[in-house]
Amino acid sequence: MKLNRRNFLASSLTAGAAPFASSALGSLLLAQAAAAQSRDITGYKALVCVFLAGGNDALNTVIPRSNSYYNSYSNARAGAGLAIPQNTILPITSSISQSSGELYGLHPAMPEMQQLFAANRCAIVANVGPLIEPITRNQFQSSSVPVPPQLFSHSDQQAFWQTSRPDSTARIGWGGRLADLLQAANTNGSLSMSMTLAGNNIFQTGNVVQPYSVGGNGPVQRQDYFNAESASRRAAIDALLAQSHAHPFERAFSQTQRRSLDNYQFVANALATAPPLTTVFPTGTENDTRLSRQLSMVARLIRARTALDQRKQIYFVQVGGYDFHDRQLAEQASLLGSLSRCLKAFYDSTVEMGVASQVTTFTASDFGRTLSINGDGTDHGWGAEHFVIGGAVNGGSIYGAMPVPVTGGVDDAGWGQIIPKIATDQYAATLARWLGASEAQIDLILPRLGVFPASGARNLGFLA
Amino acid sequence: MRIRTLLLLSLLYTCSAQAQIIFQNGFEPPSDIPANDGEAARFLLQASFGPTTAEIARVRQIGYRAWIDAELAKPASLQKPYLDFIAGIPEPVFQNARLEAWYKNSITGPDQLRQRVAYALSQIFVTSDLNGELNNEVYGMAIYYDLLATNAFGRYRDLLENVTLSPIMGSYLSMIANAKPNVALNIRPDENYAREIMQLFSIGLIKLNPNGTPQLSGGAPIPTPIPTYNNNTIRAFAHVFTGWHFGNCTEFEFCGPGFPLAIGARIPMRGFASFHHVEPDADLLNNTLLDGFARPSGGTPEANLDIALDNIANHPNVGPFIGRRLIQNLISSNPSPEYIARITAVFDNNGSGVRGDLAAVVKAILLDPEARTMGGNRGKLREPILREVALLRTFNGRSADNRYRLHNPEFPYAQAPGRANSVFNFYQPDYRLPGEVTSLNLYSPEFQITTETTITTASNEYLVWSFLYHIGAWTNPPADRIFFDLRPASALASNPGNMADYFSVLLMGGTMSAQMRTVLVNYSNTIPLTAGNDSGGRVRAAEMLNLILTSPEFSVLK
Repeated sequence: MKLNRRNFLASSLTAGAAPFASSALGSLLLAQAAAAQSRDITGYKALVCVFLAGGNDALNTVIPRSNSYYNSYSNARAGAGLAIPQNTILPITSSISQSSGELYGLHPAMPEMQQLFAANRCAIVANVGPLIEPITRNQFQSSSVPVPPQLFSHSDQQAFWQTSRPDSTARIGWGGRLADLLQAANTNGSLSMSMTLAGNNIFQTGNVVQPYSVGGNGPVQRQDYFNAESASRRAAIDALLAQSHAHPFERAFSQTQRRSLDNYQFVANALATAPPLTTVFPTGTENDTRLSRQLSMVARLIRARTALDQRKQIYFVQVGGYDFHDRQLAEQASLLGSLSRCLKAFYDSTVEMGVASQVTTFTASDFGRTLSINGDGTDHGWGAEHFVIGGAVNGGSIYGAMPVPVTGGVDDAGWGQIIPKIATDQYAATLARWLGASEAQIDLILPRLGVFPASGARNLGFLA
Repeated sequence: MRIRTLLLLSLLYTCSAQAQIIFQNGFEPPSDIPANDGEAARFLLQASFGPTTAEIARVRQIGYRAWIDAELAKPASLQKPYLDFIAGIPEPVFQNARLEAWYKNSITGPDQLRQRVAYALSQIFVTSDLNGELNNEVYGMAIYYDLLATNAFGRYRDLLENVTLSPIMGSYLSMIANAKPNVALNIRPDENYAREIMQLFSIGLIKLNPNGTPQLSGGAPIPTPIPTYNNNTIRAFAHVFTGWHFGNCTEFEFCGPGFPLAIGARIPMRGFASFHHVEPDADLLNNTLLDGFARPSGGTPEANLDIALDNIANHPNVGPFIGRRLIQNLISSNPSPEYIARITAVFDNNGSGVRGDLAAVVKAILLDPEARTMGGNRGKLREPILREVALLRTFNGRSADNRYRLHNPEFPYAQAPGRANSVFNFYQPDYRLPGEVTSLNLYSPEFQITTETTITTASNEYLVWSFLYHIGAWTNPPADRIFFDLRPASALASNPGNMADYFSVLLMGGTMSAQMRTVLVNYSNTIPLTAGNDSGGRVRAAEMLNLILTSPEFSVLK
């Protein structure tokens, strides 16, 4: 088969793009093809979002280890033994010191992250979360400054994190808006640069570009179509999909099935022809397996980037179970341990492929959790620390001010929720710029960025 | 010659379909008696897990109202007896035994409407065995589902209380062992259940008009929705929901569900007054429940729970909020405001002054003109697992040993009863698929689990059913596998048009388009039919069934 997708696109364009011209996809492809010719498309880069669904307790993830903050943290959480013992915290030393002078460490289940941090391949972004404007404790308590709608609600705060917009009912993610602008960098316009290992999601939903879903074993083959004993069945399936359907749900269903069929062979071939990876992904626990299945497939898709003909990619990976209302100590240790092992394996795979500095992985979550406790768990909070990993990361540093872990203190919204100091907009802007968005494009993606005027607000500096 | 006949047939079909639409868009109230088999079947696709020829005939004979009334009177088929049956074999009782019970009751239960509504309720009052503790409580999970089935036609307030006191819900949303505040230790009540009972089980985040549209404040710069509650309200409820533990516990601390029978996971939680928060208490910043209702001083765990649940269940949002969700699950992802308003009115008052009469609500949902007639963008994407169940119910799927070993349906379908990823269910009611669905301002919950991956894993599963698990596909069919009856369809194989019409009624409520029918008939005619040899007819039937089950038209219940 000499006619690959790119050739097919080119030939259909020269032939007047008859197969596509009347469809939305057709005009998109034409625009992209035109744009691609005038762009610098060298330099492969991929952004990998690892979403910790449920709201990770960052206060037990990046933990103060020097006496003053450790004691207030521990006092706040001592009641049911929810504070991590001081002598088990894995020390890290940030090359940027905190103005408080405090020292920090990681949850004892995260030695791999400690290692990546020490090797300057991992950065921590302190106290980031959804914000409308910068806000203080007094302003929050007197309601004198607006806050994101439905603070502390899972669904709404997931949406805010993934859109970075208060009008998140539109459900257009910042990853999707970024892909809308960068998809043209890929000469292969028929396969989305956004790929999801965790199903439909807000983060990758764009106005134009939508995520392409891949299973843990790669794209799924529709057996009655590709193994058809008779070409006529295949033609019948095509005809049923091509009908002029009366209902928009029928059309939507048809389009999804069509994309699945059209991309299957191409992606499967790309994966099959890419050399195998030797990096071993952990599978010791169920949580390991859940995350490894997704991240190892991301690694394989990155391996196949040339065959996929993609120069920019955005991946979405998700693990649930972070809603630690109870049994937090055991469950968080299991989840963070698996996160640490799997992210390290994924980083190692990018080193093996020689693309460590072209792949940046970052975490996101619904929210942080409360400093106060409800017994053996914590409730929905607000700001939280997050990890950014990769060869392009200016690692070994904590960016931004860590929260003051004092009940009723300056960063306590009033019930133990930590008020963020860095907006999700700033976090997203720093990641989007690295992937290739211009300053003007960043303002299109994150129109509220200018609300955060502090110096360095547009670029948190954790990426080279 | 053959093609000409087909064109004629499809032309005739188009004419009759148009006549039907004109009739249905008329101004007369919908008749109580279905006009044809297709209309009866379409009703049964909404009100049950799928039509059978017998039920179609019955609905046509007695009409929708009498059919519903008979269903409302039927007792619940329960899951627990099936677990007892598995335990008595004896076999270990794992969560997949619970799924077998679900399949059995969904496919064969005589109380179809009750089972269907229980399934809808299980997607509102979500619990999940993916939770580590609940994974061990197979009986508890089954009894929780039985609770939904038993209460499906009772009063909403009773359902809410039974759900609240279920040890399964108590474990899932951590109300169990939730204790009054301990200021010295900086421990205060768990907010989990307090938050989700309002956000997901009753009223939602914003104040609604009776027709489900948001109430808006006139404030600058633009009118905005009005929150139903704030975090102080959640805290107030979190304090009320303290002092509850497993029903077999004699003391609050050091108490588990109990072994070896885990009795505590099967009976309602019980209150412990000494761990229950009572007013006044300096720690509580706010004792105001919904709409400014101040919680009174003192009281027991039980009395204060009653006060709190009354406060929630009487909130004007419950009718439009719960009504919309039930409509979305049974009928249409996008009910009109008028439809929601009609259901709200029934929720608020069943005609006899009773609020929250779920039997009346369900009946009104099914009989509403917007349910009984097609048009516009009404309808919904059928859940992938329910497409399978409909196949097996309609064509009498069963195994020789009367088991339903359909384990791990989440692998092909991205959903399984009692196995959602979170309390937010498999999909959310306000999910909009990007693209045309979003630009038309439509909601499309089931599309949230419909991706390039899952649409094909589901297709492959329907393929396996179509070709491998109908009666006659195996020379020596294994007794532990389910086979369904394709013989009536096969008997029509010499006339593919008749076979398509047969499938259209039973699988699609008679809504198959002329275009689709033509494709099916043309393809069927390419398959050799050997006279006197059943295999030709069987293959034609299996091929057509496979095309239908994986088609866009079948997948949308209009």
